[in-house]
Amino acid sequence: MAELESSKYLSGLLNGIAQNTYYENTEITEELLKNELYPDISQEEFHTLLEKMKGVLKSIASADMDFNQLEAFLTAQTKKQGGVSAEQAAVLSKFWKNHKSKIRESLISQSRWDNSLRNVSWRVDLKTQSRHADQVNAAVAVVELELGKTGKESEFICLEFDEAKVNHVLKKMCEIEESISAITHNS
Amino acid sequence: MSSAGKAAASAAGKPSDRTGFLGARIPSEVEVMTKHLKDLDKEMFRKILKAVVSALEGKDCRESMTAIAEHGNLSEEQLSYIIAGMYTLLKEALRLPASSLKQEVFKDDLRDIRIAEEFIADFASVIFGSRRAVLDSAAAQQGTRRAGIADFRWRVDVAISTSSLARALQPSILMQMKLTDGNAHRFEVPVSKFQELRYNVALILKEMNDLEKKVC
Repeated sequence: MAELESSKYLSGLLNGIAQNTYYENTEITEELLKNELYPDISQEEFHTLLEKMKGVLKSIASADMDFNQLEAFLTAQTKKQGGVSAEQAAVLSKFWKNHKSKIRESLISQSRWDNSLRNVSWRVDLKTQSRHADQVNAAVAVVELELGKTGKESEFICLEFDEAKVNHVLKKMCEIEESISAITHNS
Repeated sequence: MSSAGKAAASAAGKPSDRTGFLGARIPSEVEVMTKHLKDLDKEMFRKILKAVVSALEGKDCRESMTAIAEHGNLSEEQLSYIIAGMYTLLKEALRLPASSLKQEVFKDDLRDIRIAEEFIADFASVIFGSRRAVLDSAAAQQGTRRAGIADFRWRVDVAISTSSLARALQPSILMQMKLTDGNAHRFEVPVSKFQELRYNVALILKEMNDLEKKVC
């Protein structure tokens, strides 16, 4: 019963660490975590626990460990002096299984410093009347690109394309696709 | 036969029964211009007309305008009325395709608002002369339209390692677009977003094809 309880609190602690470190939720502070999860232990004891868990999580996340690597790593940690207990290792394992992709995604985006494409919206209009007769009944694509970077407001770019231009862009996309496939198959 | 009748009607001061190219109500700047044209000599008229045509072609005509203002014997106010009137008159005529506004009709309309015959000839040579194509393309560029892509480059990067991820091996696409309005944008596209983008572009093309089939 006590074991289940402490697992629950450790899980909560790991979640809190993830929120603060990886999901940029600054509301989850050390103080909050202590008060909510470990009100009965001393400040010093809590701090030690927190730092240890942060360190372990950092190692796991930085190496983006797969589950074999994780098992090996955690087993080593349980055998170490000042490492983690078997019970804590189990909690860490479960936590990583649930959060691996999300944390990785967050870390990747932390090294994106330029604008990145957030969204694409589009519509197709039909030009029915114009000064120039040859534009009548010509389809026009209107595309809005949302570009942004973390912490800044998005920039919206509105573009228009005729059919030939859309074709041209599609060809480029196919070239890019080929390039990516070549890389991902080789890695 | 009918143009003679019409000319007679204009001469008699009776309005023709067709709406002129300037519309049912002559723009005020054109009316004001016609009053001031009476005091203008041909040489000055041609100088101003040349500068206005330059402006319509999208060129910077500040120098020539300043020269006219300084060396002419017109007041700044008079000059501004004439320029505004000429600009509007020509702009309105240029809006209509050459096929729908015939030269004779154009000239008749100008006679109706009492512009001198020699000036009418000069106006007509702008609208129906050799420079019409240039003026048309300049107008097309000034029309309301969004930017398009002038140049599109890309590259695929693979992040091997970062300060927060020792083993990243994450491909990413970097795109650089130069737009027709002169702006340039560089941005990263995550692989998942790229697939979404590619799918959408293909969908746009399909929609455009379908739309054109429906209409034709």
